[in-house]
Amino acid sequence: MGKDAVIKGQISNNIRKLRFASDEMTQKELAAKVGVSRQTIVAIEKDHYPPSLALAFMIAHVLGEPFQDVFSYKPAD
Amino acid sequence: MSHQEKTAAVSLISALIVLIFYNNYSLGIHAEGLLDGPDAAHLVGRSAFIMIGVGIGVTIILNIVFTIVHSVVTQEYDAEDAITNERDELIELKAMRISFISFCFAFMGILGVLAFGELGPYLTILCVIGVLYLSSILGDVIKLYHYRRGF
Repeated sequence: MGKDAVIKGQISNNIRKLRFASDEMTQKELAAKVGVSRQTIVAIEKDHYPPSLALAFMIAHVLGEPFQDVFSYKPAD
Repeated sequence: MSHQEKTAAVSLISALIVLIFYNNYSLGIHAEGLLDGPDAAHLVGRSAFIMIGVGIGVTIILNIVFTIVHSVVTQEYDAEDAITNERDELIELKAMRISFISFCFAFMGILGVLAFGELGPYLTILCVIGVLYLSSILGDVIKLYHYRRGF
């Protein structure tokens, strides 16, 4: 146990696409609904910042989509 | 520029201003040989207190000026941007850690120089205060870097 290589990967999201699908919600509106700043939403959308699990669930809830449709994980090659 | 970026920039500029004035002051009293005189402890203590007061004053004034100028230039002021969230806390922690580590290394360096007898005790205190401000500046630079580059 403990000898296995650590799996690394990238978390990506469809927030931008889903925002537009959700009545063209702005970044500011989404930020206000989940209680973060607009800059944080910008960073998450650009995959510059992976949100905490709680925030990720809140974003999915606000967008009205299942978690796995908003966030996805791609293991590194 | 977000509220947090603005705060980091203001903190950076005020720390730079205070550091420059403090450097001038401490180098001045060192050059005049006052640190070897009987009033050295009094001078060092007074300068530290003045610096703290001036630092707070400069930060408040810069914050007000920066907020006004930013609001006028961008024609917007968003109070919601002022909220601190998990990303801000992570950036803050990262900056604080680097700032703390750099201060520790500098402090050890100063102690090393003191051990070799190259520094007087009062000059050592001045150096430690200067290094404290330098590490604070480094922390602000790290913060700005993460806000700009993303985290």
